[in-house]
Amino acid sequence: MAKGLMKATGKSGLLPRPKQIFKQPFKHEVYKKPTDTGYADGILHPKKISRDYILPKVSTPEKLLKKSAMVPKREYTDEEISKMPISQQFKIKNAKMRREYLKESYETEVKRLERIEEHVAKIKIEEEKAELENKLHKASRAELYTAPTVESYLEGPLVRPRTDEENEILRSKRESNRLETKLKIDQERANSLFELYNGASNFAITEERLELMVDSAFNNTANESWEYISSLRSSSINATKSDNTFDNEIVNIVMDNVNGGPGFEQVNDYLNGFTDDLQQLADQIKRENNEKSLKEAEKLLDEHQSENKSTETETKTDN
Amino acid sequence: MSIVSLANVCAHLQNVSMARAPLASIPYTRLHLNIALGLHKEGFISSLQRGSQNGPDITPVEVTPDNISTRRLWLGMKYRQGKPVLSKFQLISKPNRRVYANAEDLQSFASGNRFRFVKPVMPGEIVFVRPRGSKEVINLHEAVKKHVDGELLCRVF
Repeated sequence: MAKGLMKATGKSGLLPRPKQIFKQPFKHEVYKKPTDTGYADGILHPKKISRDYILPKVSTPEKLLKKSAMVPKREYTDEEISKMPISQQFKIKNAKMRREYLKESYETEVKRLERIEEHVAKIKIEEEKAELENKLHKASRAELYTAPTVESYLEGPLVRPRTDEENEILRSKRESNRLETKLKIDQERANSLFELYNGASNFAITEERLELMVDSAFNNTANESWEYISSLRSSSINATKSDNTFDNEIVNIVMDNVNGGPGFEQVNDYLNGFTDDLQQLADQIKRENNEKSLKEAEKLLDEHQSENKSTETETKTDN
Repeated sequence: MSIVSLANVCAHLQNVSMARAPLASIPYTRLHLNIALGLHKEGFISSLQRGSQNGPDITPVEVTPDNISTRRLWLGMKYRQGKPVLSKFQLISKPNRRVYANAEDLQSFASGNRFRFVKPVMPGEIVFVRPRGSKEVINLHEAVKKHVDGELLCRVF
């Protein structure tokens, strides 16, 4: 630990508190004794203790300057100084500079302290003003009678119970949630039922069918396609006929087919009449298109015929 | 369960005091509101506000079953000369060791005697008591004045 650190702050890296330039008050002030303090009249006070407050000694900047930077009794002229040895010249010059700087520092310190005093006085006045306003402020009747107190919260129920209307809304919301979930589950079940139903066509339910399936599983035709692909060279792969399973999958998704048969949505659309409507609409559009193209063809034919006639008349006239 | 949540509140307020935080939030229940009101009356906290998890309410908000889970009580902590006013907040009665006292025992306890394992009340210390069969929480001295039996909930100093 560095020397004198314990005396300053006891912590490294922290600067010691700045010293006060004026340890005593720097100007005279009239002391006002605060009311209701000290010893009352007729009450004795202990020995060796003053009855009244002892004011601290005032040391004004002038007094301090006179004490520590007194102006020398004799002022040397420049000529006299130039004749002196150099060390003496420096001493006189330094002393003069010190006096000037000390005076300057006292003056700036006095200004700083007065500025602080002004600021404190200003804040005090503002606080007094605010306090007076607070004292004069009276709560309005509305504020007084409508502001809830914390005690009032404890009187009734802490939580406002739901009204009948809110209860009804909550009940209907829960019911709709329940129905939505039920519908989702039912649809999933229906989908799996259709999957099973459509898949059932491939089940082996007779002995003949079982034998057929066993035979087909054990013959080598299943591997043929893979062997064919593996024997191909990279150059000829692109030329091979592509597998249409991907296309089939897309068709199944679009048409909602499951296991090669109609899915739940497709059947549902049919039962609702949506498929019939769609069919009618398609027929109607087809019919309209046909009529339109027929008209256009007739129009073109007429134009062609009229052109032929005009050419024939021109040839006749030429002849 | 209520005592368990009160224990959590006690520990939380102690931690907040040690961290010198200006505000603390505790769950909004009747017991906590009673305790917080008691703390405010005794000068351990500077303010008591209702609010949500996000902070104290600027405008009053009605407490409904839909928003009760997010409601909180916000307590303004007090510090004097850099030291917390509330330095210790401990449970006396615990879920597995309830401390009930009759009116005479409470009187003896309030006058500075030990009650069972509970250490005597120190000067400046506040003990909260829940009278038997009541939901309110009162000060030990009020309980002695009212001459009621009750459960010693917690002590603060």
